[in-house]
Amino acid sequence: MAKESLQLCTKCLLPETHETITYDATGLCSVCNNSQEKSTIDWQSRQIELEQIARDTKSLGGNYDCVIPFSGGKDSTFTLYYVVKVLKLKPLVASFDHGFYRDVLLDNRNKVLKKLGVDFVSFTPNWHIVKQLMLASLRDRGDFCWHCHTGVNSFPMRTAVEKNIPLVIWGESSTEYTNYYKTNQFHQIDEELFNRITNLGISAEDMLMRLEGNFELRDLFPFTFPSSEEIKSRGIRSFPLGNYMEWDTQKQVNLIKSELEWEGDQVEGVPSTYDYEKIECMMQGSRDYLKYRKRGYARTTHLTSIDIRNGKLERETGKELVSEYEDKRPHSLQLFMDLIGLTEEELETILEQQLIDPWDGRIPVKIGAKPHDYENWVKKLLVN
Amino acid sequence: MNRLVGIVQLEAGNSASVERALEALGVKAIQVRDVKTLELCSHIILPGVASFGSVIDELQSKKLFAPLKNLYESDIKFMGLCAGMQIMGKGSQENPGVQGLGWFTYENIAIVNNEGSKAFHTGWNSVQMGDSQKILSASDNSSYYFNHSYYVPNVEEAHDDFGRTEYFNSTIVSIFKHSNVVGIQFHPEKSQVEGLDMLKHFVEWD
Amino acid sequence: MDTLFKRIVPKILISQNANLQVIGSITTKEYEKFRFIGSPPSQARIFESNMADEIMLLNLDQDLIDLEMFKDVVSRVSSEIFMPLSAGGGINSIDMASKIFEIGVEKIVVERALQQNPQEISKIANRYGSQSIIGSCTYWGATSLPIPPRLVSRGVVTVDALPTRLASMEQIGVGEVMINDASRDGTRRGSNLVALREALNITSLPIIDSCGFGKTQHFVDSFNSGSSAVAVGTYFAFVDQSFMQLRSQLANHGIRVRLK
Repeated sequence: MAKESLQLCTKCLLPETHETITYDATGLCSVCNNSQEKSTIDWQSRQIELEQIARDTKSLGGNYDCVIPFSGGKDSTFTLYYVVKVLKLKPLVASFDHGFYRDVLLDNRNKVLKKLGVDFVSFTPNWHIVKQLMLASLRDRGDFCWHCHTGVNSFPMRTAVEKNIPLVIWGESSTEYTNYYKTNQFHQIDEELFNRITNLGISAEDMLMRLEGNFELRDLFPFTFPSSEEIKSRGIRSFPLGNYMEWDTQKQVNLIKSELEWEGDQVEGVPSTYDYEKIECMMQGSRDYLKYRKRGYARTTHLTSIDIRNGKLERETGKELVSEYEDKRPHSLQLFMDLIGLTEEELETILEQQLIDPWDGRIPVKIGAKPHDYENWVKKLLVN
Repeated sequence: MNRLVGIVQLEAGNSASVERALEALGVKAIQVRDVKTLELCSHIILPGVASFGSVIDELQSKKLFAPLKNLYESDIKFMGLCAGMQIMGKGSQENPGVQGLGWFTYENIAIVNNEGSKAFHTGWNSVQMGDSQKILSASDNSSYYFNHSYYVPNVEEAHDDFGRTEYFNSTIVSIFKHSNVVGIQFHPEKSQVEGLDMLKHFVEWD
Repeated sequence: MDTLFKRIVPKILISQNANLQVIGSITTKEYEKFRFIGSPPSQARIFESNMADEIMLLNLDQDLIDLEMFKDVVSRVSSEIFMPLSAGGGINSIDMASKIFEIGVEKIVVERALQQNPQEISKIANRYGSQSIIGSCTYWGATSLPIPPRLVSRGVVTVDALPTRLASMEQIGVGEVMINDASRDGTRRGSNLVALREALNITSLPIIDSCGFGKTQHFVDSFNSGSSAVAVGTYFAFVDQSFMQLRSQLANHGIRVRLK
């Protein structure tokens, strides 16, 4: 089924293959509906609750008031700024290094951490294991980011458990764009969420079985979320800041740009005006491309849909942008294949098995432009 | 009286599953096997899975029938689950002649399918609360796990104010509340978040 | 009218992993063991977090995984979930069944015992109720090919045998039937709708359709044809679609599923 036949929301452009999307009787999607519902929430009283949580954690007098999971992207940068400047908490900033951070993003991190003045801890997993996990994950899910999804979510929690820090504050709520949780639900970032959304339905124990004895369980420790018992017994609370404030990406991006000199970057497969989303990862373009191959939509659909929802873009213009930008194979895809040791045929065989019904996998022919920092990616990644 | 939740232990019951569900909610329940432990509790759960008759038999032989009977309209909060709800009535077509606790006048009758044969209501279904009062966390949008072949058709004492589930030609009373008692036909301990929520509301009921 | 929600039932198929010396969860292809895909309690935990409808745990290695070991796995899986659990694999006596029920299993799944020990199964139905038993029948749906000998010796029958099998299951006293097309098992090319429709004509018991599910449309077709439930072993193993995601898609197709 070509993209033209996928059911799209009558307002935004999200198709029926978007994770957990449903449509109401008028054809309006659940993401649009949730967005409307969000504006009816009593954010003031939530703000008061958040301030109480901040007071409670400060009164414990620990070495740190909270852990802030940090990549340096727009959400974690805003969250860190808010926690330090507004809530006035002392954070331990924790970052999982998935191996693919881009230069502009690393410069942003350096600037932000120095300007705000915070303690920072980072973890980089074994590169050999990462590459094997990327291949295994790609084979079984058409998504090579398992090590990143699991590591990014596990490392800050493990840090909180090991150092007995009772609070972990994340950024955007999953309810912004998906229906895994109800909009007005105070969901935690806990084992249930990890299993429901984060780990692609594969825990570290499961991955061990899938890799058929090539690893020991301890090799997968960095990708293991702490157990509910470990978290509950220490009374650790872990939630997205988006539970307590009306998330406004544009406002937040403007804030970090002006207050912290945070800079945007160009991402493969999206119009250049969207210089603030997903600028962290070298593999973002390839990742979005694989999503397009599986589900028939990708990053440009997502970003234009947000603007349409907020009344900042006409639906027709959005559609034009989508057909211009999503129909391109990223320049970096070859680099990805070289890194993992995959041929074109092997990739195609994998992708054939990964189609999400009813999308039947139209393949783009055009190739995207070379990213400005591409040569650095080659240097950093192809180390043998 | 301090809050203490007791689960009546029956072989014809699934007390272990209920205990585990409460544990997941952070509630440490005690196992009730005799009058002594029964009397310590502020909240009592009677989970029954087998036939009307076998639950009554067991309560009688464990000498719990009479003490339980006295709990009606007392300060104790009582929850009858599945067969545990059914035995709060007068009797059941399942075991004619066997007397229930008699708190309510209902008689349990067999579920019949379109062909007129006995049927089981086994699976997930929704509950219609309609205009009825709020009963624990029950809502029209939730789904619960049912597993029974006899049902309560009406609870006069509750004046039609209860949750219902339609199945074939039967209108099943799926949840009701009256005085200090809640009757639940489905299995909250097998109904995931929505079921656990129901147990949580019961435990917090003062 | 049958108002029950349609169910999707992930199957956790257990087998002994010699390398790792653990009992793992596996997928099969045409009823041959295919790949290890996880740890049973971990998979159960993941399905619970996804609000799955029911879990079916099947022992594929009855020679290596005895009753005690099986009970241990059942127990560990049961402790992860707050939804109905079915379990099967070599259950052929009321004694075995009662030990399995005791650890928190709602229904047992039986196949060979229906042929070899039907009276025992009837005894179980009498004591625990017919709704506590799922009768399973595995057939070879690829009528243009002969049944592989390895499957004949395991009791897999031709499609023609389905009517008799279903009738005898009703007589024995099962509460639900599960039909499995071994030729489609693990292939993800679609389930056997012809056999399903025939089965629906023969029995009024709820039918669990199994084997071959690979796309959302397959589920839609099976449910629209009249199955009460779909059991899947391979579906969630190799595709980027979780239980909750599938459920949303089915709701969009008008299938009466539980929706969070």
